[in-house]
Amino acid sequence: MSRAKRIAIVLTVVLATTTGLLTPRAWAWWSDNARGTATLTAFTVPAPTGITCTLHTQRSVLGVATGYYDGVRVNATLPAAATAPAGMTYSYDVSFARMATPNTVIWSTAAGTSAGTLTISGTSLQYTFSNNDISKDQSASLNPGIDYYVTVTVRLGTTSWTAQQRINIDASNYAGTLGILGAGFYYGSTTGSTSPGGQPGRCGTEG
Amino acid sequence: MLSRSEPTRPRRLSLRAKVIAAAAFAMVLGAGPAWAYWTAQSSPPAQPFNVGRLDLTLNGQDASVAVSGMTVTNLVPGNTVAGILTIANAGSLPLSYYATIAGTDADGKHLAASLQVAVSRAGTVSGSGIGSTCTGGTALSGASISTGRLAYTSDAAGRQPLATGASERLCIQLTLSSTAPTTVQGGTSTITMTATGEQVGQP
Repeated sequence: MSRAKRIAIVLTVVLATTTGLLTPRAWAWWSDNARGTATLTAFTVPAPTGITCTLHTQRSVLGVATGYYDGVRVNATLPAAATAPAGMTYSYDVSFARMATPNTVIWSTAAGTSAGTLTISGTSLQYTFSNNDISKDQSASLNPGIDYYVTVTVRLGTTSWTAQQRINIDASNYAGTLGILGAGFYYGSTTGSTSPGGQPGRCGTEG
Repeated sequence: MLSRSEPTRPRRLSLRAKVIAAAAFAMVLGAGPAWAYWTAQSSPPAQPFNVGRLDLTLNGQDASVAVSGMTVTNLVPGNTVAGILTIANAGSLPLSYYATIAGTDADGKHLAASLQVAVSRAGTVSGSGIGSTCTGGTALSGASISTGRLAYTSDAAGRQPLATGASERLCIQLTLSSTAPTTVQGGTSTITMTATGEQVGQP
């Protein structure tokens, strides 16, 4: 390649680069935008409050009171119907499940079972179980420490939206050392339970 | 005695020197001559030169506006809420536009993901607040928060032309799905609907 040709190439490259730098950039297309906003907040289903349990009908052996009771009641305060959104109502169900197998609901009003008695008066809910209910679940073996929990659920209309509160209960189908007394509920046992009110496993007692 | 000198060979410029020389040459070309020639001029009558203006507004606003009737609380599955977006060409140039939609999820409850969107062109709102719906108009398909599409598409063929001074009314209806999970309870989302106008001819 001749010298003149090499110089011509170098000059061409330099001129092309300079021209590229001096040429204005390609223009941008014009655009403009504007925004509209909406702020949406979903409803919150109110949970039951003040859930408690009480034992009743203390058992006696030969006229001597024992530490076992034949029944337990769960009480809770339900949200007022007026707090439901327009066109919606609340429904309630109570389930009784074994703690060792949490997904096993033994009795549930939602499932249409008949164990226990449910009473709702205004915003007061009361559900009563008996030792017969315990026996249905634990009749095959004697067990002094059966832990259950009761869940009270508020459901919004036909939706899947729920809110719930739960309480734990200690029970037994082996009432004391005699073993022949059938199922009952402990008074004072705290084994394996933690109730929401900070009273581990204890239900209060009735008269 | 005569001495004979050796012929000197012309020295060759290095490549570096050539590049520097070429750059200097280019700079001189780019800078132009330093001296000024004599000139004479006469000014023609002033001619007006107006630059076009591309201006899209939403409900009469250039930036952000809360859509009337679309801020609600206590939404439950199946509820609807509707509002109007009026997109106008307030500029001096024709444009074409499209609209997108997005929802925030600051509380992690995914409320926006459970909202269904329906858009009708030239529709009207029936009712107010929760329970309001869009009626009439022509339904525009494809609106979805998950895809971000509200109306039309961003490509040139998909955008909606809007002549200078023209406007279009879109009725937007949001529905909380009847199958919204219980975890959506108490969730809040700010839904932003953005209309973007593009200069006609833009690809």
